[in-house]
Amino acid sequence: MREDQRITIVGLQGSGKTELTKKIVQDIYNSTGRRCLIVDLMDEYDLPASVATICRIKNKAQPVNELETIIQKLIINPCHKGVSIKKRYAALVIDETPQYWRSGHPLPPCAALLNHTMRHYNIGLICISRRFVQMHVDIAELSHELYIFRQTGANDLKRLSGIAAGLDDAVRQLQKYQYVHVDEERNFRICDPIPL
Amino acid sequence: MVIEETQTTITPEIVTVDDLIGQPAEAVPAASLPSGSPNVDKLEQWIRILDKGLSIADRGITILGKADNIVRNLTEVIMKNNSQQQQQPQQVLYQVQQQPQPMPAAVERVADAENHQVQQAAAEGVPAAEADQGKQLITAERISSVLSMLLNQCPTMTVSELKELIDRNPDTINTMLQFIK
Repeated sequence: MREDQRITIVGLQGSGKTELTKKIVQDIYNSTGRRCLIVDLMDEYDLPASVATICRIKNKAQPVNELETIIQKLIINPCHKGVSIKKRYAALVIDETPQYWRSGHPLPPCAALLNHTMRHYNIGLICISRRFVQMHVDIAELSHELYIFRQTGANDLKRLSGIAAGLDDAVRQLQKYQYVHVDEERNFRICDPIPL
Repeated sequence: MVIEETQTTITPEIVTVDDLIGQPAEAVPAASLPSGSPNVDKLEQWIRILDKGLSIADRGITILGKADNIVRNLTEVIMKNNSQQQQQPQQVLYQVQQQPQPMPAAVERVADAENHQVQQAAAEGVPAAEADQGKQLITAERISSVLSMLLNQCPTMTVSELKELIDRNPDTINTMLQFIK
């Protein structure tokens, strides 16, 4: 994973998003030796400390401020015992992204800063959502790669068709745990389920 | 200074916001839209001044209206007296009814606005009495004018900030919608 790479993962409940995310995080560690910072709203992640730091959200009903604090303290201005720690994480992984950054609303200050200046922090961004239409437009459309599991909503499929011609049809015909990988050139291919 | 991570533990490293700031999450400063945003504060201050101006103008118009009534009554009484002296009451009364004294400019403006509203309401099929009661017909034009005025004062204001402003100052915004064209 290169610096400031953006990845979007979309899929309905139980489609395999979390498993794919864990695999991507592990691959990042294997290829770069750097860890990911996972913001875990639903307490689903249990990766070893060598691979990731997991931030659990306490106030699940209103998690925006906690994510802002996490971005501020661990990415924008990270310190450990008074010493600045730069380039600590390879990627910020945000599960259930629409719970923090709602579509149609401006990004909160720290998120907006990170979104605009990710390259300077040498960090990638992996955003996960159940529905494509709920993903913040700045995040979805700037993504270098998309991983899309089965979507059934008419609006989701319509918006996907705007990413690449025929993408909606490909997503519509996916089997359980299958997903479509869309690359930076907006070419896509159907991938088999990730082996557990 | 860069510190490279050298952790090799198998157990997960789990942190919460409390670990980061040493306080409960609720104590974290609001991140999305601060209520005391400088834009909102500045605009609120300006709106208060505008509100005061509008209420003074409103009082002025009321006083002018009262003064106008007094002048009309006095004129009528004087004309009546004159006509009695000249023994031509019918003709003078007719003259007073047909040619009322011109209203002061401010009163005339308000009266025109009210007439216009009644006419507009009649054109839209609303009974005249109803239209008279709801003087403040909120049209898209008025809303646009008010928004233009707010944006002139604060061009960088977001929709969220605008909503917050309206929520915090409903009466003032209502007054603006009534008076600003």
